[in-house]
Amino acid sequence: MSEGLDRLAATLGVPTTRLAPLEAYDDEQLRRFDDLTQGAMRAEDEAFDASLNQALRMVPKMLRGVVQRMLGGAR
Amino acid sequence: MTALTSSLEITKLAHEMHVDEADLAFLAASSPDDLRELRGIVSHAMFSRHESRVKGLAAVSTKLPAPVVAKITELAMGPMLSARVAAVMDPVDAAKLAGHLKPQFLAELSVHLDPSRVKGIVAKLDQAVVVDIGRRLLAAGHVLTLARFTGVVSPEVSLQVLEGASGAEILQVAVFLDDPSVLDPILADLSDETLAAVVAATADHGEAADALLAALSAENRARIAALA
Repeated sequence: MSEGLDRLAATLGVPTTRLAPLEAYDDEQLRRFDDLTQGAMRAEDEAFDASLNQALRMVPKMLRGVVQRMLGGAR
Repeated sequence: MTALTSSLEITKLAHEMHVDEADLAFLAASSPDDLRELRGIVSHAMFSRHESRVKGLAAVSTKLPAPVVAKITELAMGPMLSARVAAVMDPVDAAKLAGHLKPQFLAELSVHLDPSRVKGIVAKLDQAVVVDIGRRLLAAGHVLTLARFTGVVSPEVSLQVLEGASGAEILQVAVFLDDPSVLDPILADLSDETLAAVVAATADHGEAADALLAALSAENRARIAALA
């Protein structure tokens, strides 16, 4: 297994063997795909946090702490 | 045919990752099955990142009145986060909440949904609402989303959504179906005139249309041959 495949597997949280069909691609291509995947995850994280914070602002202040605890410490 | 269906799978993967499909063009050497598997892995990885907080939100939503949750959902959470929450909600609660959301918001939310995760919710929604959402998706050009949902709604609903659609629109939805066999009962109930329009549109889709036609039942292929 290549370094590029190991890195992509770590990003996707799967054993490298699950990505065996991608073995045909070189490290540069796999790195590019990994960058795109990480970029997609970052964009989604940001959108997720923004939406969640906006939703929390609509929860009455006295309940906000309880809700935040239920959400596992959302900002 | 394989290169072409790989290209369709790349379009679906790009949609899942919100990236330009040209960025994934190098994956064209992979088989459609391998790309479908990769899409599943990517989808699961994206979904799991926020799973505990999403489940927390779903739990909170059951503690508040549905109209209040609906207001927070539309005004603050937005379609992407709402889609994530819907995917982990109890179908009964989710269907109840959906009844308080505007159809346009539900359509926007659908674009971010993985239909396989919300089959139970779709089954509990009023059929007229599902048809309304489908028609909004079609009007907005979300043929890929519509194709993914075609696999989880009845042929009757699909036919109502596609009522009045052009042959080219129907064909666009059809080529993106994960399982082309769901198309057979839909095509069987299309009028000769509409089916002829779909067949005429295949001229612009070359191999994609050939692949699709090859996957149809013998009865549908015979009917299409008679119309061509």
